[in-house]
Amino acid sequence: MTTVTSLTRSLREAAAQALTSGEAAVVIGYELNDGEAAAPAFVRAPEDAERLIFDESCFGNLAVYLAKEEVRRLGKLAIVVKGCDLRAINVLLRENVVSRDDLLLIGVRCSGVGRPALRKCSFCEVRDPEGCDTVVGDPPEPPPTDPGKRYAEIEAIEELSMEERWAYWQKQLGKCIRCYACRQVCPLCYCKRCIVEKSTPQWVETSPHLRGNIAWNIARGLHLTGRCVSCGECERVCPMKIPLGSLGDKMAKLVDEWYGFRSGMSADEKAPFTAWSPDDPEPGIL
Amino acid sequence: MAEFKTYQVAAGWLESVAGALREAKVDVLVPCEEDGCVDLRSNQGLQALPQGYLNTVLPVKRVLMPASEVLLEYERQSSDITLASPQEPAPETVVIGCRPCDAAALEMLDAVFEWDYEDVPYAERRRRTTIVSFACTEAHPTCFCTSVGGSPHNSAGSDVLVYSKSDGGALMQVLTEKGAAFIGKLGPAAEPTDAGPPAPPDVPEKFDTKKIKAWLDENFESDFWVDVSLRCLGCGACSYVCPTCHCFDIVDESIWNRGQRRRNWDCCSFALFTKHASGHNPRPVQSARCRQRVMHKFKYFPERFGRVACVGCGRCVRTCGVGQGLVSILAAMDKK
Amino acid sequence: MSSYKQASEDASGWQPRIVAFLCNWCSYAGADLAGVSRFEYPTNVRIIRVPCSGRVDPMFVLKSFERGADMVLVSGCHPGDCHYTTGNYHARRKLLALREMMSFLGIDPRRFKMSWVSAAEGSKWSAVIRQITDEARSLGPFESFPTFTLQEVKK
Repeated sequence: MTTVTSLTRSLREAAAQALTSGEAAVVIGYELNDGEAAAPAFVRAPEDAERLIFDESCFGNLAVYLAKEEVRRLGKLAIVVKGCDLRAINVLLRENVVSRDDLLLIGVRCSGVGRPALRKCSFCEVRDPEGCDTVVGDPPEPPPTDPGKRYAEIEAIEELSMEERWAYWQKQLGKCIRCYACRQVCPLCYCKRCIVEKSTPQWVETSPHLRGNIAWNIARGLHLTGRCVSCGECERVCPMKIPLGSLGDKMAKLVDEWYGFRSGMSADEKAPFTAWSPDDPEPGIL
Repeated sequence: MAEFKTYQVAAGWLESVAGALREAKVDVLVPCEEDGCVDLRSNQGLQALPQGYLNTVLPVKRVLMPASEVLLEYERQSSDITLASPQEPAPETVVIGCRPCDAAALEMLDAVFEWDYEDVPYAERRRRTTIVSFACTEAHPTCFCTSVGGSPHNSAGSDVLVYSKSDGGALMQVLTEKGAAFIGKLGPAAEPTDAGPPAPPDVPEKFDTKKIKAWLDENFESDFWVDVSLRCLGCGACSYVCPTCHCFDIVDESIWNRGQRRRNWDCCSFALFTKHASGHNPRPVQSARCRQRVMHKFKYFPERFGRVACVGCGRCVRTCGVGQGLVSILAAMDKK
Repeated sequence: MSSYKQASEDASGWQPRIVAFLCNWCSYAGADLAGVSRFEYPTNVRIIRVPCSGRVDPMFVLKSFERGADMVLVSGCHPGDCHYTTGNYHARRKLLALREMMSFLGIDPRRFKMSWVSAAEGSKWSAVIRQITDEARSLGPFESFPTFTLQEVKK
């Protein structure tokens, strides 16, 4: 059970206030489910705001619910956001999936989730989320690892030879069972019809053999290039423990180095695949 | 009717029987840990199950119904068509380290796959697979076998039930002819004994399936389904890791004049699962799909086959990316 | 200089299969010019005409490899000269991202080539094809990529 901290109290007050005043019809936050760790909560009555919590088990990126029809039809949405979740919301805003006027953002100052803290938290630069309507929580401690080292894991893979990399990824992607938990949990995979579901022609084979799995993971990695905010949810929910975060992080490193772009830092940026420059790097083009 | 006995073995039995089986060209599948993931693998050197072993990430159903399996292949040369069933006969397989819950699920899969039509690929593998289960010595907080008519010492679906001892030895209950053949591979190392199994660990009950069935019978249209499905992401993780879920999709993959027909796992939580070619989808919203999954397991399957289609292994609870899983849904229903 | 009238084979008689996506306005016209000018180049390349290099989806490249291509080329107008103004800029970003992802996964990035060939560059076209075919021959069959193969039914 979580002790009721002052952060939790402020959070509950902010939520109850939003519901009472009619500013929001539902608050999307976290609650304890069946006594276990935090699960997403959909609070509609002000007295139910008492269910909301915020602690180290609040991993989930709740932004995924902003594109779900069943949630949107509940009315105006208020959402509890950590900095990483807010980055995803910035992408949704810039892609016009939601409008800022239709959202009430309740920011939470976060010093990391997970016990021990998740890897992504050790170099997080958005512990104090900016641009929210309300923010609760004490000023967070600075991240223990230099944020400049955020691509260290990718660099380690890039040190391997081509054969070593293929051996590694063949083993990892060979494990994929095509449950699509990675896609369903990702706030930015909101296509009503995913490329996998297109059958004329079948661009990505649905069978969980290596050929199909390579096509699926490459397709998803490329469709998220310049969009992925490295929230790490895909990797967290994968039942087979495939290091999916590396695929998203690799493409984030690419657009950072080649186009100076970091996804989700503001709602006004122009995504790399919708933009271009005559001087874009073109190594190896004949 | 054959009398099946109980045997006693000393430490090191696992290694010696695995070696003997491999020499006999039998595929031995054991739980192995790699990169934080415990799964059944054909292992070369085996001494003991992984430390603190709870269960494999994928259930033993995947030995009998793989995630993707080729049903037939074809090749066309002008008007000549060659058809081939590509599977060599499934190898003789022994699974060592199955849990009683996973084994009990096989009886449910048998009921479906041998129902009105013998599912040949499944039946072939079933005949050639021996299940050696390890009885549980403790319950994990996510376990709920006792809520669905199971137990940590359940023998259903197993050929041998092993009660491990702290000294590395074990008590083995032979339950079938296949089990007897397995014990035969241990030779004189397996001594018949009259000793009984230890007491099972306590697994608290979390809900009452009779109450649930009664509630399900009356509440197809309830708002409960909308509320409980709001957080559901609609992925296939819970079904794919479930020992009793068995829905599948048939796909054809081809290139020019040759192709393969495959059977792949499918999940009723996917939005496309019931989409018709006309474009109509009878389960267009997640609440309908969540309802279907629970109804199938706790109402339709019991009505047809006399048992709940759940063994309480707890994988859905552990795997769900949003902290849901069947227990919280059923416990909420039980309170109504 | 060896003759390129025939497909480029190695000692065992294996020939690389190269799939090339050519933009209609520049590269396809350039390839046509090479033909009209009687420039010689190996016949291992199979050309697919698209309106613009920006039309090429990374899935086209992957599907080509899945179906047995040993090398894939995408060729378009020079940057600044795209018939649709900006298509090739988008192609450049998208397809280089594909190549970088392939490389990260350990899939040989040398199997995927891009080039800018204008409608006037018949000789460049034939030089590009000679170069990449030589490279494809020396790299050998693309065996590490999981292609469509049957288990049992023999060809």
